[in-house]
Amino acid sequence: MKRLLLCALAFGLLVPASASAARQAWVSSNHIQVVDLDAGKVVGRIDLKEFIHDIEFAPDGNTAYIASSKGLRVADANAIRLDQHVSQAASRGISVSADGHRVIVIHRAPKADALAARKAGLPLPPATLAVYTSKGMTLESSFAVSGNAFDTAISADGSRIWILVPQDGVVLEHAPDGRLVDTIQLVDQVAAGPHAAMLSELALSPSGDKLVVPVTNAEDSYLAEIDLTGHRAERIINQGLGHARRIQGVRWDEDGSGVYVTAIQSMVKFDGRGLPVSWQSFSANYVDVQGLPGSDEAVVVTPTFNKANGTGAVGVLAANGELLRTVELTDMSPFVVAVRP
Amino acid sequence: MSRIKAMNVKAQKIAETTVRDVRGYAFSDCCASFAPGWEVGPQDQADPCPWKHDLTLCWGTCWWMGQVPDDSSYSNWLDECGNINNDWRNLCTIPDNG
Repeated sequence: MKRLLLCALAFGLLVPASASAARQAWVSSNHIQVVDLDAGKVVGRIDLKEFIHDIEFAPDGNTAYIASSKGLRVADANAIRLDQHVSQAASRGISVSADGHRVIVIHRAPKADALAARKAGLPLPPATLAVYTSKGMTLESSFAVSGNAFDTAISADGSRIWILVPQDGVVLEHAPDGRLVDTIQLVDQVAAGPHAAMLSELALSPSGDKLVVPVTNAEDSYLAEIDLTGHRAERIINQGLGHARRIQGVRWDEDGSGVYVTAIQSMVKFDGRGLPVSWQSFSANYVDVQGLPGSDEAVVVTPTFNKANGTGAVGVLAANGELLRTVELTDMSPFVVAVRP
Repeated sequence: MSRIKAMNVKAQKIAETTVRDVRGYAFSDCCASFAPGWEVGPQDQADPCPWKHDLTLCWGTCWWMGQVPDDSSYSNWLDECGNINNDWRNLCTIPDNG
């Protein structure tokens, strides 16, 4: 009987422990707030005064990598605490390999150099693509990339790196040592003239067989879907999205079943079947999105949720677009969301 | 312009003023697109975004040209804006020296 009671007690203790591992989203503007998505409240905060362009988690969820206007930082996701300031160069476009061993990021050239180049009418000085070993964040290699390099992706084993350069309309494939392997031309920006297309993100499918790049031009918006297997007849397929609203956030669902796409006041989970696309309309403008693992729900952020008091918000959306939960943030207009694995 | 001479104190002061060198995006400079104004909402109404959203997008993601500093040259421009809806007043100052 005593043993039974002890087992029951142990079970009773274990259940809350598991329940306390709630689904968590980190959202940011110039600082980070950690939101418990199940309880619908803010449970942590990292105060910074630097605009955060990107947050990515290690696959085990214990570490968060943060790219901001003041560099690359590493945070302990359990303690919700910054541990390391790896680089002080303005950074963006973090990607973590699925095996967790490599972290890549774009470090921008010093702003004084950029300003001098602009004043002289010269191209932006090159940025640097840095490849870090996640253990200790030691620099494994680095190489120069276009000053306009905007986003990155890395293969599961860290052996292939893709870099989006919107101004050139290309995705460049590199080896980790910097060797250029391939140039994937998506848009001829020169021929497009002043109405060039906006290529705003680079998203690698969970299976690693496709890259998608959202493209918005004066006529329409579409997802440029790049086949990485070499088995498809057409390497690039432009998947129309049925309107010309600018695309804001793009994220693969973690099971590979589709791509969440947010446009102005609307969102869709695009399954690759082509038109028509059933956009869901919202009164708020959700600028970033990420699916919740193991469910058909998604987390979205909007910088302006309540126009009267200027609050931003984090929302959990059901598959039908119903807003299940909202956490209003009085002191934040979030632009980036990252769901902790 | 160089042949015009300042004739009074006020004109002298204007002539001596250093022209601020804050530059908005220029096409092919760092902004890929020169197509402002054609974004529409779900019912084809005009772009319904609060302007604070676009401010950030113009600066950081270079959606289109805008008379805002660019992220490359002024990477710290939004560092003081936790909630841009309320903190946008912090954006009014751009240092003349960059």
